[in-house]
Parts: sequence; C-alpha cells; structure tokens
Amino acid sequence: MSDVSLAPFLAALLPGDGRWPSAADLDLALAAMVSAVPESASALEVVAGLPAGDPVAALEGLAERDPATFGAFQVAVYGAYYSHPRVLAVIEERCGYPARAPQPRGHVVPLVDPDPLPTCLGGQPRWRPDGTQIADTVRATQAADPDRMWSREEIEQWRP
Amino acid sequence: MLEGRRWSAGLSVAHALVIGAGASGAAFAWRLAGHGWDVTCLERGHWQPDLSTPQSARDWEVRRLTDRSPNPNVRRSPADYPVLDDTSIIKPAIFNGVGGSTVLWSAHAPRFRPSDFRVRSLDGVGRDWPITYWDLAAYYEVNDEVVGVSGRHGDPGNPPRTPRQTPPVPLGPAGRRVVAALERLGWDWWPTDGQLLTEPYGGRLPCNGCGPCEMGCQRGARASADNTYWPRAIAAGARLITGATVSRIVTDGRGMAAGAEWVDDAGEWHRTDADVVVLAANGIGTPRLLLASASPQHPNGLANSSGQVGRNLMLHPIAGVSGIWDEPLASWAGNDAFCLLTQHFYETDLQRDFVRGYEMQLTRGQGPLITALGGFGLGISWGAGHHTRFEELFGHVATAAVTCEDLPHPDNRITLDDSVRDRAGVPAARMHYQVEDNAARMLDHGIASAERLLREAGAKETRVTRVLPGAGFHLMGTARMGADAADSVVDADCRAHDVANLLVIDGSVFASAAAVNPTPTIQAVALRAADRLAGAA
Repeated sequence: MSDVSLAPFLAALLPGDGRWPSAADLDLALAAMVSAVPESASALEVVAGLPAGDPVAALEGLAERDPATFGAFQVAVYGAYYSHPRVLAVIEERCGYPARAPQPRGHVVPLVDPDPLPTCLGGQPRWRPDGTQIADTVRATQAADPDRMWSREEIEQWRP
Repeated sequence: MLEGRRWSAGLSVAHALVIGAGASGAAFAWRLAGHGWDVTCLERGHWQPDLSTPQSARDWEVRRLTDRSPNPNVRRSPADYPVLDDTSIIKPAIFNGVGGSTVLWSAHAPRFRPSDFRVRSLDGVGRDWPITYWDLAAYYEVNDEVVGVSGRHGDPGNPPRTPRQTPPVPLGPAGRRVVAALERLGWDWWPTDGQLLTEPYGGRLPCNGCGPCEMGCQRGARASADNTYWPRAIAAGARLITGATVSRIVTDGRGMAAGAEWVDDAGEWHRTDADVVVLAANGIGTPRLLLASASPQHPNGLANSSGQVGRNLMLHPIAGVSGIWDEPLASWAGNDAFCLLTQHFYETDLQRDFVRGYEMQLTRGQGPLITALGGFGLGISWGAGHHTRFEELFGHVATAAVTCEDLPHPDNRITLDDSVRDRAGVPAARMHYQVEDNAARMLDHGIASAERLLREAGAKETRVTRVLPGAGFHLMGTARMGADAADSVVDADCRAHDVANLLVIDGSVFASAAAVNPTPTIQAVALRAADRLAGAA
C-alpha cells in the first residue's frame, strides 16, 4: 500500500470543492489511524488493490459486497481527515466551530437571556399515585404549596 | 483449574467485601464504612489519571471510536472482560475501572417515579418491587448531595425534592426552540437533573460545555464515582484494591458466601475472606460472576435456585430522532446528552396500544467526525456532495432521544459462553436481547411524537434511528429483587434469598426498568442496602 495507490480512492471518498480540500491533497496521518483502528490496515490494503480506473465505482462495489471493510476504510480516512489542521480551519471558517480540541477551553453555549421556565412550574402534581398512603399525603402537601422548598429532613419523614 | 496458580501468602479478612468500584459499589462502600464496618472493594480496572480524557487532543473523536469507546469489545482494554453481543441488537456500553461505567457516562440523572415501583399492581405487567419510591426518597437526596446535581426543584411531574446543588444546564438554541414547541403542544417539560455541575461544588469545577461527557471529564464537573464517592469512602476507611479480577465467589460448607478468589495484574492469585460479600459489578458482570460461582451447593450458579439469575435483562430501547434546522445552532456547545426532559407520555394511557411509557430528552449535536460519519442516522453520503451536506448538518442538529420502558422477559438475558474467557479464566458474558412487543409499539409512538415535536420546533428535516445500537448502558433486572424467593434473586434489602450473607446492589436487582436513566436509583438502592445491612434503617 502506498499513498500513490490510495490517492484516487481518497479523492473519490472526500473530493475537494474549492473550499474543502480533497483527502488526496492532504498529508493524512493514516499510519496513526492504523494504530488506533487495527481493522483499517487490511481495509487500506484492500482499497489500494482496487482497480483505479473508476475509483467511485470501485468504492461503491466494495461498500456493497464488503461493508465492514469499506466501513473500516471510511473511518480511517474520515478520522484522519476531520482531525487535520487544514480541515479544522475550514470547519471554523464555514461553520464557526473553533479549530481546536474541546478542552481545556470548552465551548460557550450561546445565551441572549435567561432560559425560560416551564409553564407547569407551580402547577398541581402530575405524577401518578402509587396506591400508598404516603403518596396521597405528599401529593396533597405539594398541591397546597407547589413552590415549597423541601428539606432533606422533611423528605426523611416519608420513609415507611 | 487451581493447578499452576501462584498464591499470595496468607488470607486477608474483611468484614464486607465489595466486588466492583462503580456507581453502586462506591456508594455502598462509603455508606457502610461510615457505619464503622471494615470494607474492602475489589476492582478489576484501575484509577483513571486526571488528564487521561482525550478531549484535549485534536483526534478526540477518533479516540471516542477506539480506545475510549464505551463498548468493551471495541475498546479492548486489559481490564475488560469479553461480552459476546451478536445475539443482542443493542451492544454493551460499560467501563471497568474505579468509577465503573460512570467514568464514561453522560450524567443524565432523573429519578424513577413512584409508579415505576408498582407496575404489576398498577398496570398488570412486569413485577412490583418489594420496596417503594418512599423507601428510597431520602437516599436520592443523600446521593444528590454527594455527587452534586444541576437542575431545578419544583417539578410537578415528580414528588418534591430539595433545591438542586447547582442551576440547570443551559438549554441552548436548539433547546429553546424545542421548549417553545413543547409549550405550544401543551406537553410537560422540565430542565432535567444531571450529575453535572454548572457552578463550583464540593471543590469541583463547573462544566465548560466542551460536549462529550461520555468520554470522561477532565475538569471533574461531571460526577463519576471516582471523583465523588471514592475519596469519601477511602477517608471513611474503606480499602480499594485495583487490578483485582475476581474469578468466583467462594462458599463454605454450608453454602454461605466466604469471600472471593481473584488474580492481580501480575498473575498472582489471592483469596479474600469476608463476613459479607457484595456484588456491584453491573447488570452484566454480576450475573456472570454468580453463574461462574456454581458449586455443589449451588449447581445452577450462586443464588440461582429460582433460575432468575441472568434473566429479565432490561436495557431501555432508545430511538434517536434528529431534527435538522436551516439556521446554525452551534449545537456542539454544551454537554451533549441532555438539557431538558419531557415525561408527557410517561404513564400508561389506555388509548394507546402499549402499557407504561417513555420519556424524551433533548441531546445536542455531535462533533465533526461523528457528523461526517452520519451518526444518529443523519444520512450523509461520501463522495460528491459530502461537504455540502456536512455544512447543512454540522451545528444544525439536535436529537430527541426516546427512552422506552422495557418489561422483563426471561429470554432477554445474560449467560456464560466459555468459547472465550477473561484473564481470570471466567467465561465471557453473552447478551441475548430483543426488543419485546410492548416496547416496539412504544418506540413507534415515541418516534412519531419526537418527529412532531421537532417539526413544531422548526426542524426542516428529521432522521430516525429506530433503536440506537450502542445504547447498552442501562443494565437492569438480571438478579431481580422480589418478595418471592421462587421468582427473584434478592429480597428487599438486596440479600440473596439463597445466601443470606451475599448482597447484590447494582442495577441487576431492579424489578422494573422505568423509562429513565437508572444511575441515581442504583445509587439510592445501594445506599439503602448499606444502611439495612448495618441495621441503620
């Protein structure tokens, strides 16, 4: 297997379009993927041995007759492609997703004002009684004062 | 089998020997040690280094598909045991290490409702628990204080609870759209409880919205048993032995539990004797060890005179219904697995063609790689058009996860398969699981409801995965609790009917599955079991 023998299939799997680079144009870390996904080693070998005249048709044929091998090939190439710095830069530009790992900085959930509260807040109990006396007692208390702040000590008293 | 083993010198004696250091084992060890008991816990895996989570690496999503996969058959860690799953449409999602599967969980933490414990009495299906919600209510509160829960009190859809330790996680743009739709439809919703801090609590940092909680949390914002219960348990005197793979529970001449045999990472064999043995190895690992501990006194497996060990596996079939919006929602931001919950279809409605019900939780979007691979049924082809579709999807998706109550079925079960063994020589667990008819009808209803909801929320397209294949993380029922020893494995206090000094305290004991995530209930049951054992409740 060599990058040269894989190139037409990489280009067929993830072609470039002017904004997105083709997988064949990147120095993909496929060796690292083979280490992480052992099944991908044989999958890459199989793909490299496909007839390269019509790589799209060749990959379609492989996906139909041997989906497991095609899947391992796809995961390996996608894994390398979608963690490549050039691709991450395109994702940031096109989608707004920061071109970095999620940690340590995290992601900020967009907020413009406080989250709404459910309109059922303060409403009558909606949970189903279970036939026990304590359920009836608790429901009655909850219904009388829906916004009550319960303490752990009060809840301890429910124990049969 | 014993020939050729290298044994350590002498036997160590513990009052209570807990097997498994996950959600239940950790809670139990802390509680029992607090009562002055001598507690030792054996864990086949290890502590996870603080910075071992891969979200700081550029290839973090590759790690999610490989060595941080929740599926042990993909992850193939030395600590894992084989789980043969070709006879199950849902694959296992478990972790072996200190903290157990809470190391790789998403921390959604709703509680069971009172009716969930009384399904036979109320709806004529499944089995009632021999305890009620009210036996556990105080333990839910204890658990919440230890782990730290984000959320909001005052939900009229559930019995009252105390104010949550921190405010709820933010809804985010998709959540707000779905909330508005829920209100228009008149469907109840609530900002659901999560074992995920939104403010500092107990010396832990709050969530910074990185996304994939189920890969581990290097900030410690998401609770796991290793960063909540275990420090407390060890401070209370409990001993935790890691790298200890148990091969069997040993019984004495009377058939009582005497301890356990185990092998360490160096291949040296040990036996730890105990007055009480406590199984906390999850709904797969626990029946596996019980079945593997057969003896002349217990020829069908330990504590299995009822024949129920391993049976009645309940997993929650979960449908994933993804909505795709035209506008960008930055749906990669925030904890990925939950922000709100609707239990509008939770209870039995005789107008429907199924009993019991389901909940829907809104999950956020996925990262670039999972999106590109079409995760959650997104439908994205390779080749020409791939990137155009990627841009339509990435950051534009949120998924309604429809979690259906599973009813116990004897053929959904865990068995032993000696075609493969682990490092201790214990046969593999084999999962047998199909979605039973009632749950199948429930899935249909839930998928239709989710599609209606997401369309109402403005999604231009919905995509359905009828049963999420990787969702084998809620493992219940395989050593169920009951009053009748002929039909159950343990009693109301989690003691084996057949072996009075053997307890099972994990999700295996659940008599019913409810339609919500089980971890808080698992932990409440474990805390109560410790109190009952110690005579403190």
